[in-house]
Amino acid sequence: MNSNTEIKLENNLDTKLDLKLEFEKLLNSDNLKLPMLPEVSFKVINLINNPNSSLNDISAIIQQDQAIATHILRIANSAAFAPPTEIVSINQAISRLGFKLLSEIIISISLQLGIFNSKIFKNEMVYLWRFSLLTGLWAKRVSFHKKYNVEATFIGGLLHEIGKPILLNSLSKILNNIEYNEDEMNSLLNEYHLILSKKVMAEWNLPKLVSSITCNYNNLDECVEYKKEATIVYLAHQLAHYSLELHKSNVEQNHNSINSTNNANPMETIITLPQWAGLNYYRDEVEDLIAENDTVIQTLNSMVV
Amino acid sequence: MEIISELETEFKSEVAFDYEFDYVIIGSGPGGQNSAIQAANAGKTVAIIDKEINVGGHCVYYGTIPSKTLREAALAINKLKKFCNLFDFKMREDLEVQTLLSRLDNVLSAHNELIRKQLHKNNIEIFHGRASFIDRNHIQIYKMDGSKIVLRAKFIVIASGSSPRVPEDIYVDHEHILDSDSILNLIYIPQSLLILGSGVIACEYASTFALLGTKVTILEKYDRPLSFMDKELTDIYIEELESYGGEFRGNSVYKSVVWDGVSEVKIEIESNDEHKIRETLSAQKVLFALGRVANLDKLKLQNINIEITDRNLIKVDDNYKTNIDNIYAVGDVIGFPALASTSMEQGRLAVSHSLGLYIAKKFKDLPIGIYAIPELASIGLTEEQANSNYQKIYIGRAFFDEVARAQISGINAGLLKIITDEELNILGVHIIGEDASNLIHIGEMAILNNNKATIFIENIMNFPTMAEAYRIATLDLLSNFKR
Repeated sequence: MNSNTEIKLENNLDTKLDLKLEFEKLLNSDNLKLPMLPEVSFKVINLINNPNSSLNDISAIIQQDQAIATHILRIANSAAFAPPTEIVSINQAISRLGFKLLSEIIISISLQLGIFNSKIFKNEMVYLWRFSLLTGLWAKRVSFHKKYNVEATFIGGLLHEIGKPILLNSLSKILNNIEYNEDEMNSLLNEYHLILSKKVMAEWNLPKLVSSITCNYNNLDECVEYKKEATIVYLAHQLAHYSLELHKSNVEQNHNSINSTNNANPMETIITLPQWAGLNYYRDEVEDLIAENDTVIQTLNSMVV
Repeated sequence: MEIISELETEFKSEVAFDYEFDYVIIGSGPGGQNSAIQAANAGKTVAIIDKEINVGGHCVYYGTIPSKTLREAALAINKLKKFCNLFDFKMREDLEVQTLLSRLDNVLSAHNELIRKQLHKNNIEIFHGRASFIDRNHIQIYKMDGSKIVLRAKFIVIASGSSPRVPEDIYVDHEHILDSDSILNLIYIPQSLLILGSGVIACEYASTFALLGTKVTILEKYDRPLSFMDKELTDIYIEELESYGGEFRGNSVYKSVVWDGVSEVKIEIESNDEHKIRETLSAQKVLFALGRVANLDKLKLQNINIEITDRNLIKVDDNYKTNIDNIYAVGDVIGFPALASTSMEQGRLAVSHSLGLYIAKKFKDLPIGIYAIPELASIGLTEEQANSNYQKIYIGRAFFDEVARAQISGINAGLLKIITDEELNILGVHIIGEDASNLIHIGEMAILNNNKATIFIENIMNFPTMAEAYRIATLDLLSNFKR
């Protein structure tokens, strides 16, 4: 999580205990209200999975939402898509970006505005959002090179830690008067987010493939269905960590390589993950994949609202 | 078989190595497995190298088994559709391809286990990694973690298989423009599918997706699909494809294939005649099925100066030996017919030759099975080939609607065709219809045993069975014979 949090930090044992207690109370409460999947995302995910859907359906969704329309125009004009002329209309943007990319962008924006949004945990949400989107983008790359389905793994990556922003949103209602330790918060989020993710997946009634990835990416040994896709998202999750750390290091070290600043070599850590073997990725293929980092980051920056 | 002698090879260099074997086989597909087992049975030490995690061959995992699993699902759905009214049953509109392939993981896992057990039982060592030649006796294995080991071998068999061929001018994104590996990773059944090419893979996927409700169009440079099959069979194949909504467009050459960035792939085609008429077609997905290329690029064949044909295949002699004495090649890397069944036999024959074993008889007539809907199968000469090689030929046909078993099973479309010479020696058997790939073996055995066609009426076959088609076709042939 972002270390620049604005929340006051204090390492206090009693508070730590309280926070854990609050998490458990929250998750066991019958009153825990799960957020709705943003309507726009729901519609678009259904469109993607419906072979009868057309560009007109997507266009209709964009026209109904001014915020999304604005962001679409901004993204279509960004350097990542390098338009030969300025994109000034939604229809122009649609033909520039295409159905699938447009769908991904709309889901991304609606999730970011709807779920990854909190006044109290603003910086944490920004970090979580960038991380989720980056995981989705890496999942596409990992899939592409082995000819796996890129459509499903992108959404799986995007939603794989959906429990975290939902937990933060729920906590923001009870945390006004409690000071907390950031590391502890991270640790508790990591411990509990999956429970909430599973509840949300059941509530949102998403395609089985997406919910299976979200629920199993971190528990591959027990994954029965869609193990390949869950493995892709697990590896994309690790690549997203690597990308963000590399980016942070580059900023801090005036663009020096992260490899030269740490004792442990993060790239080597990624390359030697045993999960690559499950997808039959050889070391040199992983190295080639990691070399795509700049392109992935560029796409990420163009898609973040 | 009698052992005549064993070819000896000398190690020409002193490369450091980690393990030594009599035989190293590159690739664990059907050709590689049979090579390895044949050598192991002769008491040789054998290693098999495969770049994939599972043993059994890339084609088996990405082609043969998945496409047949999808085909079975399509057939099952088709049967259910026939009973829709009876059981108040309705097909889900958003049926996912992955749902149809739900049995696939179990089938593949069982296949992997079976082959692994078989290799272990024969004391064959399995290495997972990418193989490349250091010299004619030393193979380097690049393992997944980047480490390398070297194997030394007296004999080496290359059975590294093939991959889908993709023209350089087309960007296959595996999302809208697919090859035969990525088509099975589709989430949903596409509304429309354009298939470039009309070989075995193209025709199998065309009929499966058409039966699943996709609007399928096959584009082919020549005037008919499966040009190596008997024309009468391919005509019926096209009729059947059209009966469930598919289309075959012959004499069409693609000029460009572009994803429009919105929702469709556009293909510009040109007629393969003097008019050169251009037309643009579009579809939700495009499948490239324009043949396969041998997996040679990682083998570093330049280190051993192996002879390559102008089609980028390994050149072999009648014994599957390359221009290097101790190196053999079998299966897809040597080209036609590139079938699992023939690769197996090539593997066995190659190793037999290297062992100096007497080979009683080399196979001449290859049975061909195509798992389209309906199935096509063939052995021996086609009508066209028989006409050009013989002065007089006789043909007998059995249409499946004349066969009791076909009537009972609701199989109406189908044909069994027997071609003989004037002495009633069987020159060829060609079948289209359900279970054709099994049924062909009756004809194959008759040809191998030099039987005359009358064997099918002078002996008893169970009734009702599809085998009865042989009897009906022979009776038809004899009536033509008398005339």
